[in-house]
Amino acid sequence: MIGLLKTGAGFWNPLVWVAAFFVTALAVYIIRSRGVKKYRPGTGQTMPFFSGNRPPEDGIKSGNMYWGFFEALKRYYKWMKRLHTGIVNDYVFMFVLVMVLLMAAVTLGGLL
Amino acid sequence: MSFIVEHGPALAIAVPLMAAFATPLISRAGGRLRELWAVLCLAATLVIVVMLSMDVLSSGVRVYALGASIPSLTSPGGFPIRIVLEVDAMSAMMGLISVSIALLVCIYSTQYMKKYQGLDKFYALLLMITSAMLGLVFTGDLFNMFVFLELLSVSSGALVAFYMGRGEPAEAAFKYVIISATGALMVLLAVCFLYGQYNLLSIGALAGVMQFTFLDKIALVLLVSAFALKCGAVPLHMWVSDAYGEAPVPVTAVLVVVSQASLYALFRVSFTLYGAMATISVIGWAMIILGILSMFIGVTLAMMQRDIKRLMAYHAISQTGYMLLGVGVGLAVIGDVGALSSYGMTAIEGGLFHVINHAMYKGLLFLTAGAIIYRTGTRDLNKLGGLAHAMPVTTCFFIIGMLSIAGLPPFNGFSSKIMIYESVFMFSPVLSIIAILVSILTLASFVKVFQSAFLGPKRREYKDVKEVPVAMLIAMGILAFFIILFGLLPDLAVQWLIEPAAKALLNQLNYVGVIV
Amino acid sequence: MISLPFLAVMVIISIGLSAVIFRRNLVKIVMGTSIIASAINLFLVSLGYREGGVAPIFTGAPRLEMVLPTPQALTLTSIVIDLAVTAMMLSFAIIIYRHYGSLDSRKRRLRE
Repeated sequence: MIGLLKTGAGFWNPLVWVAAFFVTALAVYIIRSRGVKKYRPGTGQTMPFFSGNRPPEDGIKSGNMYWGFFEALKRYYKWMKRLHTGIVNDYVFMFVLVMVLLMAAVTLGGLL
Repeated sequence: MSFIVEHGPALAIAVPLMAAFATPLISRAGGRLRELWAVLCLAATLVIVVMLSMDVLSSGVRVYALGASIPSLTSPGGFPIRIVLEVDAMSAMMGLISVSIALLVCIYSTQYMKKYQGLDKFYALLLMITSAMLGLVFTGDLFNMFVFLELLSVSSGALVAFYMGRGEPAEAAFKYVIISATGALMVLLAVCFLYGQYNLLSIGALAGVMQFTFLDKIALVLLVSAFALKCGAVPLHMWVSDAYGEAPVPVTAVLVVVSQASLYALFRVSFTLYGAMATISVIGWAMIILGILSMFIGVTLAMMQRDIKRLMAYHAISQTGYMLLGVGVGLAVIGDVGALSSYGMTAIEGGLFHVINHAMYKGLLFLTAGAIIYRTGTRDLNKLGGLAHAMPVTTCFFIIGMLSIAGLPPFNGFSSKIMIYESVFMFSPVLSIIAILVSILTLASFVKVFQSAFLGPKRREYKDVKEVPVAMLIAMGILAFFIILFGLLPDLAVQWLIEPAAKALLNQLNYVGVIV
Repeated sequence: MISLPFLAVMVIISIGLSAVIFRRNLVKIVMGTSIIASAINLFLVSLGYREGGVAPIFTGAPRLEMVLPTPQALTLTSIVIDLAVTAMMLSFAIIIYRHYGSLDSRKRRLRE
């Protein structure tokens, strides 16, 4: 039938997925509309939550996001920043390096 | 009508090329005429390519010998002479995506580039890039591929340096052209090796007589590494963020398709020219390793960027890794018939489907970034904020692009990614797990962009930002429509476009048999 | 044994590649690219040589053995392409000098 994509190990039908999504969204809407309305705009409900601290004055910038992720991978990022120098000579050097490695692999792979 | 189909390969290359040379003359008559001319020529090229593709998908490979008395006279007297253009299903797919993206970018840039000067050169170079891309994917001759590769790098390098008021675009363009020139010269060296041994230049004729000596292996290594350099695989990726970041936004959307054209050249050389080599699976494993490195390093470096265009450029590197992984798995199992039929074919189809999807959603994301830059004038994510109040349609298109690149249903990113995940899982589970992890990190970095640029309260300095003009919205809207269409009906795309392309790649004898 | 033109080509290509990788001046990097292109043009022309052949432009030829004309056409194309690329790279170097004041490849603003 239309919309059925056969992947290697199974199948995927996006039209059935969209139908299931709408049915679920309808159920969620009905259940939520029977609840208590607690949204009061303008009070502290609409402010972002900072675990009790005061939020910064000019908003949350993009440099502040994912601090834990970057802190955990600090050594990897320092290595990457050192590798990406921006000098054009290093770019061509990487190209020659990859060419030499690939030639070694093709020659040795042919002998195996 | 049959005239267009019969001379289609040559017309598709010649029409944008002659239009490009006529553009500076026509722009003497005014700016509106110039933009109308560019859009009309690209629309005519799209009609030619669509008719050619429909003919190729229904009746097989179409060959065109330049300068012969009838187009299909490729080997008079039994020896293949003349430059041959050969269009099979894979070339048709790449040609379609090249011309469509070029047309949409031209519509977009009628509004975006309005306040700059030197626009006659901009449109001339854009038409020349289209002609060079079509030449690269339609040609069946190795030296002709080198010529169009150099034409492509020269015209796109000139467009990368379009903004001459600052020094950074010129620096980025210098690096881009040096790298492209070195890569193309290595391609020419490989062509010299092959010509010196066999006295032939057509890909089909060479594939018929190739004997895989040591010099042929050196030529293969030169070709593979030069084409991997041009498409931005790690560790040859460092020019991508500079060139994509400093070019004008419409040019960046076209540069994405330029990288996919080099990816096409890589597949053409590995599958059709060297497909019968006994140890070709070494190249398959090399593509898998390059793909895994590109995916992971691309996305982790993208998460820390502050500049919106450099962030999206690193994501382009990461998505190229997906394509290399999919097709590399297919190439690694090409000798094993059972594995090829069960999951190798699906892996190749997933990789090729990802090429089309990536061109669409990456183009949409770059065009929405261009909409932000057009209205606010800044590219720094730390300074943006609260734009969703003023630009709701752009926000909607950005959400569609973001969910598509992260691989969430029901958009087209998920359709190609699930094919890659499931077939690579049957090859080796670790690779598939790394691919899924990279998808999650992609979503994380785009959520960061979404929150910084669109969410939040309205800022003082952007209080008179309005929605972007209609021409830009039309271009973004057509891309979003096709993203949703390929997401909801993926089996139509796979059945009519991708499966013939994958079969054409694997079917070497068909390509050879038309020439000799 | 490798004949002399091919050996010379390999030596000149390695000289050109080392100029691109190790020289800091932007103009010298462009010169390195031009050296590699000249070497490949030499390679192309020397591939077409046939022992004792004449130039392939005669109508009433003194001998029937001629050198191959195809590599000569390829070389002409390659020379023209290399001319255009070198001209463009040198104009980029002029613009970089006008904005930054130096032609050193290590004084770059775009990194990581």
